[in-house]
Amino acid sequence: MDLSENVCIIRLDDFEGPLDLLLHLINRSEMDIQNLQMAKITTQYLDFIHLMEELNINIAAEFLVMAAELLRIKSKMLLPPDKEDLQMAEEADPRQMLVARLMEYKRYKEAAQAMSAREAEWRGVFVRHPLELEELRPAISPGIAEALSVFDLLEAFQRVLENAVDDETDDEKRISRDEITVEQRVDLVLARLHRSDGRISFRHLFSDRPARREIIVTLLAILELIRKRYIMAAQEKCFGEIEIFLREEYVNA
Amino acid sequence: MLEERKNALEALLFVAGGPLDIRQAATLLELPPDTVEELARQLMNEYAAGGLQIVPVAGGYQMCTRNELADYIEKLLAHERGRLSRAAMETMAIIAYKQPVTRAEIEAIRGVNCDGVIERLSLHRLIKVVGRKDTVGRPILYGTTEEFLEYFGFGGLNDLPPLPEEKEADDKKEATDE
Repeated sequence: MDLSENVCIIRLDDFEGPLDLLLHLINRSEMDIQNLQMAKITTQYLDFIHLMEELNINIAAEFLVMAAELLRIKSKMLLPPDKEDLQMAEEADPRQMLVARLMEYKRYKEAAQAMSAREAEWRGVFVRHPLELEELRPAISPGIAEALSVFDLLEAFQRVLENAVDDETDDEKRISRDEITVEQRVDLVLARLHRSDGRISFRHLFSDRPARREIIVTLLAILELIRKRYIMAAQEKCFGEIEIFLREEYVNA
Repeated sequence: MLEERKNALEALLFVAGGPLDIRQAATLLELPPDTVEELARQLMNEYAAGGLQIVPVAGGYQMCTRNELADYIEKLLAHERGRLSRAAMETMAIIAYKQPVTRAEIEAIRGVNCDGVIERLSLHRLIKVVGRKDTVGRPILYGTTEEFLEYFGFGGLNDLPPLPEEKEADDKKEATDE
């Protein structure tokens, strides 16, 4: 295939950025990356940018920044080196920074190619969808048949709520209960669980005549602990007493 | 007795689907991890000729199909598996080799904005936030996940192909360029 200088094959997804485009141009003209021919590469790069403009392709700002950088390096190389500048390695060869960036990018580009090969290979390997191990794990203690849904919990919650003291009629209580936060309840529930060997009935987490706010905050604390997988709820039989368990891994924590 | 445990391990691998952690298997089988490792290796050999294989992945072992049989399986499946785009794979490589790494560090290497790619990789759970760098602005540090190891079938981060050295990069060009 003839790739003459001014034929640019544009596949936008081919070029992930200005460094990628530069590498492509360098490879195409079989240039030594360590010894960039700035005039040639800058012309090729700008041709490419102009072509993209003509084709009304949106050019990412990064491409323009690189164009400016190439022009800066190119012009710097045309000027006789400043004696003071020579002190600094970077100024001795204005290309140095760019070459270093290109080399670094090239390493990762190649690593990405190796990983793509690995992906292609591993793509053909299929694993069964794992069963929900959580559901399969045998009940924590004998006689506990079912893990509960949120709805079961809400029903139990409703039963406790029936015994609730209405905050509105009890000003004194309301003021004190106001200060209980979900975080405090979380700590309290965990403390109660630890004290009772990691197992407590849902009902016993509440006082005999709990205030509505206490119930709500306690429920939120329980849901939070379930979500964070510290505890789980189970019941022995349908509509039976709901029990809260500390997950095994935390029993001795 | 050990034969039964080996069968049990085989059964566990079947049920687990994904990688089964050796320590977890050791607890379940009531055997020391070394013995489980040995049994897993025996199973690997026994499976060598079949349609399934047992391979070390993400610090455990998993039972899966053989790559060579992919054509048959893909006919059974409704849709093809996706692949990472080049931009995503480059970003993935930088994170895998340089982790923990900030977005700015990734962008410095790639020379382009990586917001979208990083978001997509996070969404696919191939990368995760692993902390914050102790510099101005405390930027987020990214690293790879267990799912990353599973996706590429790596036993661990040590299984990553060696990163081309800066000097070698040029010599390897022919080998890796398309």
